[in-house]
Amino acid sequence: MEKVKVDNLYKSFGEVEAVKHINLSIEEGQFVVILGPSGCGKTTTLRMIAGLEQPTAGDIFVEGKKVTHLHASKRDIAFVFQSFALYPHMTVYQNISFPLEAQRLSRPEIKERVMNVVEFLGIEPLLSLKPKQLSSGDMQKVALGRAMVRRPKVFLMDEPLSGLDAKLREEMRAELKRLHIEINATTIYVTHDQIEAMSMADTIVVMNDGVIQQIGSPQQVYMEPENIFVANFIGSPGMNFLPLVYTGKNTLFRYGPDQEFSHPQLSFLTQIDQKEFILGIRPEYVQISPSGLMNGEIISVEPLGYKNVYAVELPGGIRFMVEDMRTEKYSGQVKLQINWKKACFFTKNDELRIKWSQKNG
Amino acid sequence: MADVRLENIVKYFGRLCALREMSLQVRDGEFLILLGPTGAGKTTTLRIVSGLEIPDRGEIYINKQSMKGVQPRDRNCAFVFQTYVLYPHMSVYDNIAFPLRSKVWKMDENDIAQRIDRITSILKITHLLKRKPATLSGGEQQRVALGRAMVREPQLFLMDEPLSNLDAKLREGMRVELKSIHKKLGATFFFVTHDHVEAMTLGDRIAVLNQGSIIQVGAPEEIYSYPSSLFVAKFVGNPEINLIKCEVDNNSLQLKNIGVSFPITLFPQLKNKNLPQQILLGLRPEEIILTPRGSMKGEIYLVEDLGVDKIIRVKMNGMVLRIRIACEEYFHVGETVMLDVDTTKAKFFDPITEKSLER
Repeated sequence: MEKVKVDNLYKSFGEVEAVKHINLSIEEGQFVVILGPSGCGKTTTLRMIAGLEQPTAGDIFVEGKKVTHLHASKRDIAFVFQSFALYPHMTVYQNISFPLEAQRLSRPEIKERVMNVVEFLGIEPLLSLKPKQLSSGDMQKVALGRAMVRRPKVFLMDEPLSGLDAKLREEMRAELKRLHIEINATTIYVTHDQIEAMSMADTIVVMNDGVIQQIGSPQQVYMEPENIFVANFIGSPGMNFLPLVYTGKNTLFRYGPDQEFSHPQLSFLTQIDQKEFILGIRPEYVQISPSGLMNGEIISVEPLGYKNVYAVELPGGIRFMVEDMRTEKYSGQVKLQINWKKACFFTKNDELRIKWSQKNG
Repeated sequence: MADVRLENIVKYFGRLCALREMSLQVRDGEFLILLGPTGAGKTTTLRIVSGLEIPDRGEIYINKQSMKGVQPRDRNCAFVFQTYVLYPHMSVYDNIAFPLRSKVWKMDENDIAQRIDRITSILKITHLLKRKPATLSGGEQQRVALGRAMVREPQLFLMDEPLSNLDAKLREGMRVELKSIHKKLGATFFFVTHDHVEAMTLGDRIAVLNQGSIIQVGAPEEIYSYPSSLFVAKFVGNPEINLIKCEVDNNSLQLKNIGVSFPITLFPQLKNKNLPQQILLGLRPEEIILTPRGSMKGEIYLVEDLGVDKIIRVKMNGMVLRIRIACEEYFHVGETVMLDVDTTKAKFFDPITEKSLER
């Protein structure tokens, strides 16, 4: 049985359909990240699961029990927000123990649970401090502690790291993931940051315009994106795209205003009853090489210290980003080589990836 | 032509010292990044160059001319802010034309049209000219704001985190745009950010500012590979540099927390150096190598798959090291691995002075 099941969920705000036809099935112990740009409906989805928002249609189940119309407080779900709302007048201890006080647990039991959690998070030295005396990283840990102490069935997190500065965010990302490895609590985590999603999730749910675009492991959404949106949104920089037109001759394809190339890997495209395609290739699978098939001009270099990222303009103004681990720097006119094994192909009309089964058949 | 020289600038706000004897030179035509954490004095520096703020002491020169007593509008520089203030009731065209129609310029409408045509084609916003700001995306609005700064054809652009309000995807694209705009204009860009990735990828040179003083100035690769202090080493790079406490004993370097030691002769950068007893070894995440023949043993603590590469954390006795590996390498949590150090790239710091030992 799934820990959380979302069945055909819809949400409208007046005329605006914020969330459409959402189906999710989340297993016990999974770390699921809902990823998408602002306004894609990810937070609305999370808030409906939490009970903070009523769906227009559809149902939500927790451990097989329908909770669609159950009050938020009755769902046994803990919500960790973007702004860690701690009570400013309470100490760290009081902030963490607060949900248990409300449940009227005995004093020794409360103490035991709180101490368990703070030890785990490594925040024992902070117990008697007030929130304003804490760093933002520690505040976030206290907010987590307050969620953990209830031992909820599910953790919901809405961009919990976005208020932190970049360095701290990296550290907290690792700690959250490590925490998940250790307590294995079912977690649904919402973010717009694809690096957070890639690095933490067991399963990524990519959303755009209120609709799920793809559900898959980080590897799947990275290497086998369902469509152009996912291919571009995941990765930094995103995938490169090259529109191709089949010339009708052997495996010869045209790109840009008047460029042509041919490659055995393209032969399956000739079997498909369409003429226009989009080749997708990640920046690390394009190489600057004298034996490359395509001509381009380097328009900028981004040195990152351990690698260089080039922006290369192809004929027709198409821009490719190219990652290069070599220390020497290139400039001017270059040739680009594609690692065909890593390429994806999309149909031009619906921007969907052509699957392997189609490739082979 | 525009270069900028700041000499021993001191600026107080009440009792708070924002800039302390700060000196910096921005070369003609370069893209210089002023990088530092919040409160370092970055924005104050820009405001002093533009004339919006007057220093308590020190001199500012633009094109070798002292700016003492020179009004902001006479300094021929354009300020681009983090929040792009466009006039909501005006079209993109009118927004960009606005500075040229002001009393100071009163430029002929034909000339205005010519300038706007050129600038908007560089910025790739020609198709947006009739639109109102509210109908534009964040990236488009920022380009319009840039257009309004560019239309006066200033030789010096002062940019205060102009990309920080854009979402991650747009920011990546705008980075490439901004670099190519800089190339096309040939003007001097003086750009402030707290984001080290932005600094590395945009700048011809980076000046690292902390607590009102310049810590290091250099090309991005130089700042990354040869940080002059612990502060720079930690501030630049992602994930953060690994810092390992070492003790110097005769001719060996003992990594106490890890329980291994290396002969000092392994590290050419320490040759003929007078070493303190305690030193810090700094290793970037890609400067630790996983190899079965490695001399250090650790346990995989965490694996983060970023698609393009992986960051793993390895626990060794009392510490956790961050290591970058290729995406084709597979490890699982709990596994034992052997590690080695890329000795030629190792960095060393004095833990007391926090300065690099290699200089």
